[in-house]
Amino acid sequence: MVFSSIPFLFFFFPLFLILYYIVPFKSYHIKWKNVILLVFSLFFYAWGEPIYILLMLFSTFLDYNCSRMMNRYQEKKKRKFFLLLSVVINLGLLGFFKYSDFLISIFNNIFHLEIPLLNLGLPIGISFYTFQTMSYTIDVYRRDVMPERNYFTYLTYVSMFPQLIAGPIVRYQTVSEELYKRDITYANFNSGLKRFIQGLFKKVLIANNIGFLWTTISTIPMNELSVMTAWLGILAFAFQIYFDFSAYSDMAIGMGRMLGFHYLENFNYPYVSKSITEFWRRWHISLSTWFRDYVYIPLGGSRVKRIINIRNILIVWLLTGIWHGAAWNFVLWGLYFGILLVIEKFVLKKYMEKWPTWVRHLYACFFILIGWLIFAFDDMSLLTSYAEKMFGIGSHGILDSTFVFYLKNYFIIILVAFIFSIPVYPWIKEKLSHKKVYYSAFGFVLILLVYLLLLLVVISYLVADSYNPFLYFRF
Amino acid sequence: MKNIKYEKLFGIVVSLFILTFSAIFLFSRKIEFSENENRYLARFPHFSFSNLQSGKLTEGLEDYLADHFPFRDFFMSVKTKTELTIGKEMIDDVYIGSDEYLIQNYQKPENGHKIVDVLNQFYGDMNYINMNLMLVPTSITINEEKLPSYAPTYSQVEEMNAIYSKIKFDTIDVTEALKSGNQEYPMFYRLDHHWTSYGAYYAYLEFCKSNNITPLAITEFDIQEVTDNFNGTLYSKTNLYTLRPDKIHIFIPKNHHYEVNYVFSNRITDTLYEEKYLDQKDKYSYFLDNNHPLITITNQDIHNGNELLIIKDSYANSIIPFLVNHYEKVHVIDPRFYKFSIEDYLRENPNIRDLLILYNMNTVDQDLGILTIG
Repeated sequence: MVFSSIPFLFFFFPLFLILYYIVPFKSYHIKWKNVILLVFSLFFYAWGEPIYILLMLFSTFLDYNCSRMMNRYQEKKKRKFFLLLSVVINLGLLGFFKYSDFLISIFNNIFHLEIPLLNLGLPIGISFYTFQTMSYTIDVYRRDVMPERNYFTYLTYVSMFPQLIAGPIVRYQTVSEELYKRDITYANFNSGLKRFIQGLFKKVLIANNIGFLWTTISTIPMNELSVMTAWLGILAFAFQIYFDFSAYSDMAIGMGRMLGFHYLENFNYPYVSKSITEFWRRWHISLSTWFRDYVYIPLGGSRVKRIINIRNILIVWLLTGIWHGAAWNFVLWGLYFGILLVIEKFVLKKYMEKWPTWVRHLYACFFILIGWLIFAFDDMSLLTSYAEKMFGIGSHGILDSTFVFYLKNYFIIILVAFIFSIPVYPWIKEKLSHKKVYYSAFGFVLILLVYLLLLLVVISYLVADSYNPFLYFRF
Repeated sequence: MKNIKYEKLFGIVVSLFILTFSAIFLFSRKIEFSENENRYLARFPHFSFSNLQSGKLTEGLEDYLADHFPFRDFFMSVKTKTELTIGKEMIDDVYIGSDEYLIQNYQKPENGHKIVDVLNQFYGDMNYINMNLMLVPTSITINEEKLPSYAPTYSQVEEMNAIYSKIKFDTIDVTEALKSGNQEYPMFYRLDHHWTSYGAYYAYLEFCKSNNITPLAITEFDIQEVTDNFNGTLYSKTNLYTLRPDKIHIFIPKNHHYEVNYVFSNRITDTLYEEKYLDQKDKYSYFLDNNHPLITITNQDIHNGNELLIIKDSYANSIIPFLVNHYEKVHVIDPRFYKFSIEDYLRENPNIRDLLILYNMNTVDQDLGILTIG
């Protein structure tokens, strides 16, 4: 089930909320609100993956027990054994389901074999929840957190539906206290609800709309693409992936808030970055901090010789690339950013500070867009062909009527996407918070109407069964 | 930030807003057929383990919920209005043209060479027959000047010429006839993807020219308006409720005594038109009762022994009322629904000497019923 769907919005989530708010937090030693959350989360997952739910149950059961064992034994060797057991099995499962076909095809290519592909469907959200459970066992090993005593509480943490299928990657330490005690208040409910509606708006009205432009342009035969159309397509893809992904995070954070949880922010206006380094501090923050804490720093981080530091950066970005999907373009995408980051860190940094701000923005936007170009095509020959069109090789001229048509059809959407890509909304909110009218009945009704109107339009798109893709099936 | 007294209301109002729809959905009576969209709505999915495992169950539930959502038509129009407001000139592959014209897009054709192969093969087997191919360009070509500016389109004329140049039997190009006819009468409906009876009449003239038949002049017909309230398929796709509906005209010749046999339905009538559809949404079905695998039409005023077979899509339903004036018997086969060999049919009916294959440029490449001819 996805959040931006009729079953979720009108049945699953309301029914869940009613029950969640009715039951007591705890009585007779049972945390009833957690029970409701767990049952609905499992149903939520089973809706799309009735079989693979077993995999998630197994994975969590394993990590729960490995952590208990680590806690029982104090010798480093034994603790390390259980850590390795958990990590190896988790990565093994992730690797098997996600990468086996990719590896088989590489193998077939090198040795000219024809081993048949397994064609396994990727369990939804496996990359997200595997990283969550791994962060937990590693943290227990490092004694950063105490292991969870109750398996069902642990399962509740991993399977919590707001963040289960598309992040953010919530670490156990972020919510461990809230699993036992949390503020379920009106204020939280309201601010969470607002955040959720904002997410819906970003997903259904911005991401889906502009995503359709990208889908349209990407199906134009390559020899009919003009330079400008090709760039318009990549720009549309850049907006689609940002608004889609950050919308899921908004909805997750919003729903979490409505339940009394506080997840960390996952996006911070990445497209206002002035460098690639800054971009990765603002994009999918829960993933980059995961790799920083569990790969980069253990490898020595930056407090090592320059050559080792470069190696560490490249390893982390190679892994980041592969995490996004099992195909060569994701490998290339990771290395591309790894190399850019190395260049920025060791060469460009001292010059960049002297560049005018607009040059730094232009520089960052250009390399981010090229990054999305690599990300968008998992077929290398299509990728190179499309890239050629962007730079005028064999393209249908610089500018053609197709470009003009799509620009005028999508101009407003692009404008709206641009406005919400820069921190305009927080700025307005801040300005308004100093005005009296904001706190008046009039101000309240106005804001309420804006949200209801947004909801109405969102519902109309869902009812009309418009283009509404789920992009993270391969994460 | 300090808490404000109204803030509490926000959650309550939004929750009630959502729950109202949930409640109306649960307690409302579900309709089976959407007149506006001209289709059966999704039924409640059948529960079984294999459906559950394959994800069909949950998919079916999602379709069911969307199809029966309260005020569905209202929401569809909200969506359309939003799209228009933000400057979209194409909704669900339909261009919003000038003069209240909705124009179906023409997708890049992909099956031209396959169609040529199948038709030439068919002709090779049946070459004693006078075979004609008529591919009808659609509104996007004839009403090109009504498209939004800069609209990217593929040329139907180029594709048609590419096919015609490889076809080994007679081909009829009606593009120019329709374009010039369009100056006088609308050749296409504004809100439907079909051509009008006027369009079909101009194409009929071209058919006659190519087959040395003397056509009936337009003055020889009694032209009647049968409805002025036709909201066709393109209207349904876009939900543009504010456009004025189309009129349907029919051309009635002096002599019109027919025996119309819907062979597989065991139904015989004496008219080419089915009145009942005029009260429904799907008014184009007024012509020859929508789609049938096989229809035979005997003109009781003609005794020349000539028989014609038409292999066709729904465009032909408008031109048949003209063609029946020259043949004792007209056989009509829609290969999308006729599951037997057409060659066998021709052998069983040796009086058929003329054959017309008629498709519009959109369906010929997309429905591919034509590929089952051979």
